[in-house]
Amino acid sequence: MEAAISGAECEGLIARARRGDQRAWRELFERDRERIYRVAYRVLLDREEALDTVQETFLKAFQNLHRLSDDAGWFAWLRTIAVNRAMDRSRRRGRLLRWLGRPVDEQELHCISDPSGTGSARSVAEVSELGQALHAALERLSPRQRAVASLYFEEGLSAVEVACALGLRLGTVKTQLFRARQRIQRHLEAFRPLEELL
Amino acid sequence: MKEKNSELLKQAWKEAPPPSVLPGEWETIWSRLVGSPNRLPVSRSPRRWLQAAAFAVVFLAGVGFGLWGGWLVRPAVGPSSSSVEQPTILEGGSQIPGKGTATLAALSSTSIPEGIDIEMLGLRDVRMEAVEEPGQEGRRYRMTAFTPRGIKIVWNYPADEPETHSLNGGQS
Repeated sequence: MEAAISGAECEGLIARARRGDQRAWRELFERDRERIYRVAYRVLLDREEALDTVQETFLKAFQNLHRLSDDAGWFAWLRTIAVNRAMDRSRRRGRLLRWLGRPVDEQELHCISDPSGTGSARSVAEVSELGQALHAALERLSPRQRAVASLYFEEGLSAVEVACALGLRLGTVKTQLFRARQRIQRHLEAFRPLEELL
Repeated sequence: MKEKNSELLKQAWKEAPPPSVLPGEWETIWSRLVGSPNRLPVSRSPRRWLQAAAFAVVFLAGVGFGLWGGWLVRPAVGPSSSSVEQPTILEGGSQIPGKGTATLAALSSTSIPEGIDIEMLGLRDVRMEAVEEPGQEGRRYRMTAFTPRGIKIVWNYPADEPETHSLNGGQS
């Protein structure tokens, strides 16, 4: 899942990008943009903000490419930038609403930034009932819990890898994961009994 | 049961893909990345645009208010250089012809105690122009100047009856 091209090819791309080869930049962008977008979207639950985050993530990565010590860890590094920026954005969004004197509700935050509720470019039919239930559950989680859950369940990282990616202690990740799992499962059960699904 | 729940969770993630992104949108992001490698690119989110617009409105309002305030408290003395012809500046009160008359004219409108000479009046923008009058012997001059309080005084040289004009067109 990590990369569609070989590690050596990826390292070659990064070496070229580091020398300022714009075509290499482009290849890296085209290769990883979708996954970075997906990770950012899971944290933000907002299409436009997620696309902004993709833009910022690649910009920051290209500007700081000289700091990447291990070229093989390119995607993990990129993903960490994306998750951190997405969490920052999410916090800023919360602060904005608090500053405006309104109660912070994740669902409300989502509705403000994405009035359609499911993303402007997505039809309702594209998302199943189960998918909608997950989306509703994610809205009830904190940005950090969403990040942890997304990396663990969707990206397939282990708890240790999630801890490394987010710079958290393993115990914290496990706690966040436990709470996120509980909340998500509660929501999924409410929308669709487990017995029916399995 | 725990495994089944985990499977359900993984399935749910698969069934809730993020909204799709059109190729043109990726191109836009790429062009911004390439076009501005050394600064943060322009945001796509509407809230950022709103913030920028609000900042611009506040900034322009501030500038406008500042200009308006500056216009309100502008010094109410003397004419602006654009509204008056370039005057002939005569330095030193002793060189100004008809200064006694001018002193008299100034006193009539500025309440300066009698006996103060023209140098102390601080007259400025003193201007002198020749006046051609048929049947009049010798040259005559029409003198204009402004007192520190913006009173325009006009007198003739050789001496004549003095008259004063305020800047807003009043006459005393």
